[in-house]
Amino acid sequence: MDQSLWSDPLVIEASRKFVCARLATYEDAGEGKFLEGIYRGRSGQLENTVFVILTSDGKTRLSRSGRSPTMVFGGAVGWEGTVLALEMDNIAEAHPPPKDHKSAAGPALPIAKSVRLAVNIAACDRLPLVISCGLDDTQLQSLATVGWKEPYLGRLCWASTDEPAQLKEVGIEKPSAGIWVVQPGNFGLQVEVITKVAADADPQKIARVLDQALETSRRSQKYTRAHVAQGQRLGKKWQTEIPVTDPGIPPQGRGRPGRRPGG
Amino acid sequence: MTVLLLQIPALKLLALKILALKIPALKLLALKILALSGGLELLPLEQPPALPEPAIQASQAPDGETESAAGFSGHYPAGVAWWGTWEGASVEARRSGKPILLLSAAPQCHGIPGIW
Repeated sequence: MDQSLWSDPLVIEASRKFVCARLATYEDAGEGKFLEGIYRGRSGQLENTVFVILTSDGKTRLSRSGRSPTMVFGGAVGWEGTVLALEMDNIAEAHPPPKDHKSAAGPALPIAKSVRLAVNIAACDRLPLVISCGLDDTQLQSLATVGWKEPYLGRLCWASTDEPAQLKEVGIEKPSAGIWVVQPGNFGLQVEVITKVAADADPQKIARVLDQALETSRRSQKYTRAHVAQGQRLGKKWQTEIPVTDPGIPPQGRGRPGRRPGG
Repeated sequence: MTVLLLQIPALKLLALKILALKIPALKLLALKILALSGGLELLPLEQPPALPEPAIQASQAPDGETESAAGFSGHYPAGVAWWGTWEGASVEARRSGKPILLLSAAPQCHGIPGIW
């Protein structure tokens, strides 16, 4: 995945007019089937990346589908982000939310499928991760209300579970109910706890710990070849939920990181 | 000949100004000019293209939120708020009525986690 495209200020601004879904390829059988229906390359198999824009009911395509926004919308070198943002603006203008569309409740937390996957994604994004454990619906909504505000919007990753064992799996020694703010390890397998607050903490207290996460963490730079080589040397491995079928990627544990397959 | 004409920096600047007007029909023309002319490499360095104001705001923390907000914006510039599951995204799209931008990416490279 080309992260530079998604950190383009024009693209970020345009993204606020969309619900942006970034599914983890090969991490859910049902989503894998769905993605296969959206785009398959020449191999006829699900490839590493998929991109499309859909209507709010998810049934109609508003753009062609492809491996990436650049494949779908094009753009001269250095202008891919600008072209994507303009196309997004055009689509958003042509398909605004219905005027009579009203919803009493606010958005939920944009969580990953599991804590294990969320830690990995947070490491990929190089962002702190907030894990809610054992929160009731009211507490979750309170956390979501804070999380969708600036400056937290798009600067944190999120996970939610009712199973303390999921916290133990990622290295939290004494898991318990509450809101955990953690820093993912370099390889996204373990975490370091930054702070934790009670499940019933008020919004001001929650905002303070999120501030703390953003203030104390530093966003490290990652280089694909060096990261993969180091991971292989240290024996860091990730087992996907379903088999990797991208023809550009050798079976796990074989081959060298000669090129970046993410596109 | 057309391509040669499009290498003129003034034409590129004109294309950029057209882009800033936000008129959909002209945007396409401007993008074609920029695509044919190979981007911005011939633009004079002292005249960088101006970003629209909302885009500049999107890359900065809002004023007056908290004292710390401005402090850490350098470490954590604004980002896309990604939904991690199709289930969550589709519920939110129905709730908000917004179109869905769908992307998938693998959070591992050659079986090594921690990198897209």
